[in-house]
Amino acid sequence: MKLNNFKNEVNQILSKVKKPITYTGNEVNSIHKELTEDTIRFALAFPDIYEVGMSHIGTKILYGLLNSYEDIWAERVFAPWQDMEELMIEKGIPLYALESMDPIKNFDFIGFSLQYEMSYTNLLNMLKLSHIALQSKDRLESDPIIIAGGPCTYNPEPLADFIDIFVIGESEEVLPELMDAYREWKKSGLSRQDFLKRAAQIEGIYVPQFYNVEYNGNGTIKSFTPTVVQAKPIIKKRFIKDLNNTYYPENLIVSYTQTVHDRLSFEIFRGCPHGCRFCQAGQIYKPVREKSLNRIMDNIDLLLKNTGYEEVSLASLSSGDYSNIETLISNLMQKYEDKKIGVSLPSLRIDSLSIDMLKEMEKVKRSSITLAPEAGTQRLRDVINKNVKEEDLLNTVSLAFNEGWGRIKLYFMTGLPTETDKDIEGIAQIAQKVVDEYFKIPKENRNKNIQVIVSTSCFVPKPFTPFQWVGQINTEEFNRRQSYLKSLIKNRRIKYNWHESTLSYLEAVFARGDRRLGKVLQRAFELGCRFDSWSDCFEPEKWEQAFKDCEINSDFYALRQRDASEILPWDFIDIGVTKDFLRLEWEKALLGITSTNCKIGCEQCGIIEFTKDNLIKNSLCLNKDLKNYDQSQN
Amino acid sequence: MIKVRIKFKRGEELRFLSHLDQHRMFTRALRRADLPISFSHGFNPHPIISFANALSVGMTSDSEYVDIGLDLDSDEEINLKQLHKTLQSVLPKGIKISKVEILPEGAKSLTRIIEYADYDITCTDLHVTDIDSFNDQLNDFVNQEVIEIESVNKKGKKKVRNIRPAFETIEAIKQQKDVILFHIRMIPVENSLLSPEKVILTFLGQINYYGNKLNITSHRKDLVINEDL
Repeated sequence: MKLNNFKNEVNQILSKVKKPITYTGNEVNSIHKELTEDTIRFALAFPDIYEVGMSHIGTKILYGLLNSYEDIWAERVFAPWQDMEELMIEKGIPLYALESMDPIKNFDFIGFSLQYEMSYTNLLNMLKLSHIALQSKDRLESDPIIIAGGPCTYNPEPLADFIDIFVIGESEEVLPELMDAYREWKKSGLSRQDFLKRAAQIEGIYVPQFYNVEYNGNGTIKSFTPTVVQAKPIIKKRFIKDLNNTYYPENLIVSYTQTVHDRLSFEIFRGCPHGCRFCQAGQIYKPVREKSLNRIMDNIDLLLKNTGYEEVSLASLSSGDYSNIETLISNLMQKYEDKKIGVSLPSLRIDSLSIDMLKEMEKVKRSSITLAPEAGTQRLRDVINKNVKEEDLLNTVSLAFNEGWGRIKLYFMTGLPTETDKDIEGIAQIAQKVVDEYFKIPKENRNKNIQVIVSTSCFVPKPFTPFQWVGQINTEEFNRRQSYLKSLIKNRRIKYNWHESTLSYLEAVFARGDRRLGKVLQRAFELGCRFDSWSDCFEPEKWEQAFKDCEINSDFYALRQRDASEILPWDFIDIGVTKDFLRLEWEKALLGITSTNCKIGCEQCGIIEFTKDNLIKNSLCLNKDLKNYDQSQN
Repeated sequence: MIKVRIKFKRGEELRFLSHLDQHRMFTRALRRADLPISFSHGFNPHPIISFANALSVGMTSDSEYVDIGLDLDSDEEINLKQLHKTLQSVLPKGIKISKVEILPEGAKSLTRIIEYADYDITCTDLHVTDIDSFNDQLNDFVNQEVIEIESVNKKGKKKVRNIRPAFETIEAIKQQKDVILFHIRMIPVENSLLSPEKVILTFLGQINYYGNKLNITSHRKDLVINEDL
């Protein structure tokens, strides 16, 4: 089969755009295949620019996994920046995949990775640039099947009109199952609808057009029911039971241009043992599963050889919690010292152990240390179950100053449930105490420059967290709290950055929205919204206009306190953690009672019940049944 | 440490590499080849690798040079043929190695030994009725002793500089209707080469050429180095 690509047309416009190298592909280790009649063509689509998308581990896993099948050719496609978009439209060039430069409209599948809500308009734009109908119901038999996965799909409803198939949960196993179904269907000569019905029978697959939603007079959901027999009333998330024996790439594409994470990011475990109550990742990625030391060392070694990266970063939600973290780091440091390959940890919690590790890793460089106490007072930290004490934080900071670090970044959230001005004052006080710690260190030990950077983000209530019922505070109140904090910070050594509250408000709308928001999304897109998470592209007035045009009250989604009995738009998804557990956690939050982490005790979140038919290996979960099983297996 | 000089071509596939991209790409290729890379000393050790001259984004070239340092005691440990093969195998399509040689101790750095560089600059949408009189105009341009252009630096400050010493000869050839090929030889000034496109554009400005928006593709045909400089 011949490629039908736009190479020549693209080459003519590239010299006119800012980052031409991000539109040409051909990177080292990119995969090119011979097309045959049987080739299943899969476009892995990331609704943001190349530099962001190429830093995403999940896309790399799926690229390797899909291409490991002889008859599947997975390629990549990213959102073109505005200069490129304009030229593509002007010259009539449709959105193309980087490897073959073929229009993705000719593919069998386009699979979007949904990492943040504010990338949804980019998804619509990518469909439009591909000349594919935005709405699932308007698509032709010959159009690609549009699928989506990633953390945002735990509430897929705002995108229900646009996506044919959602994959709920980890996709290493379910995607190959879907491909099997596709191969069979292709031979059968049946219709697109038939394929979707077949797909709906696979565990973890959600086909939104096969469900009907009815609403109460007050706008809440009355019922959510399947309309065809193939569609399941409850969609169980998919998860991998044994990370050690699951596909992970041994080779990765090495970008020419500098990406956001321009290093080898290697996933060492999945899930997080801490139950921070604002955090969605902590719940949806349960149970915690580790890879063995040997598997990690061997896999990293292969990857370094094949890519030539000069730094390896141990990725997870909380890397310091890996059972053998110290051994792992010292093994890596030892093995790669001669080759000057650095080791880094992207997410560390606050304790002295971490400082020792950092010291080891950053033998020469003393850049900044980032700590995330999240809230300004112990009371509020107990509410959110962030089990970090001020004392620990100051000890860590003191150790860091003593070791020569001078820049400390502190991350907080404003607008957390039950937050008062006292908690805001607490943020300013912590920042000041951090500065005080610096001056306690003898002059000869400490860095000449000290800077404390306080950043606050705006709390966004997310599905599948104990705070999923909470109303967000409004933007005026966010702004007032930010100004108040600003007025409290007077020390010139403390710098204060804060997040745009309007963006967080919209995020709250779409994070917990239902399928009625589809038309708002489409309207905002038609009005010109793109790259909303880029502050210089974000146009809140257009969004306001879109809600008005669609006669939809955005406050209903973002600000309203939801009732315990309400049917939530995402209730049809079963993540293993029960709604009762989340509700109990909410009640404990209000009382300021903390919960323990999975490594120390079990809070009976429900995940053990959920996984009992698929016993998990190498879990950090301290549940007795699981541990016993684990030991008998080893 | 043994220094190895590599001569290579950069083709269409990689013409949009920036200098930094190219540097990073070579460094990672050396690591993939598992060669004993030499590192600089100091707080932040980095591989010893240096290019003769930055090739602009969008340009292809038949003649690029890079020197790399290898942590070996004597050059007898190197099999040049094998090294050539190994390096080529880890480099992407679009980079073709034409020569690998071992440098004698104390060899001058690449940036100091550039004698001149020849370019082919192709302008499409450049309307020229009579190529001979166009070349006469070009000769008049070349025969000036001083050609001053104004440039704005990063801080927004205006600076006037004389670009005449930065090139030697220019010649225009009409390839087809509205396609003009310029041969231009550039000479380094203070160890760096001016962009040949800048010279062409300055010339077109001087003869008051106001045509369509030009489409320019540039190719470095030769970069000549001379150890005796």
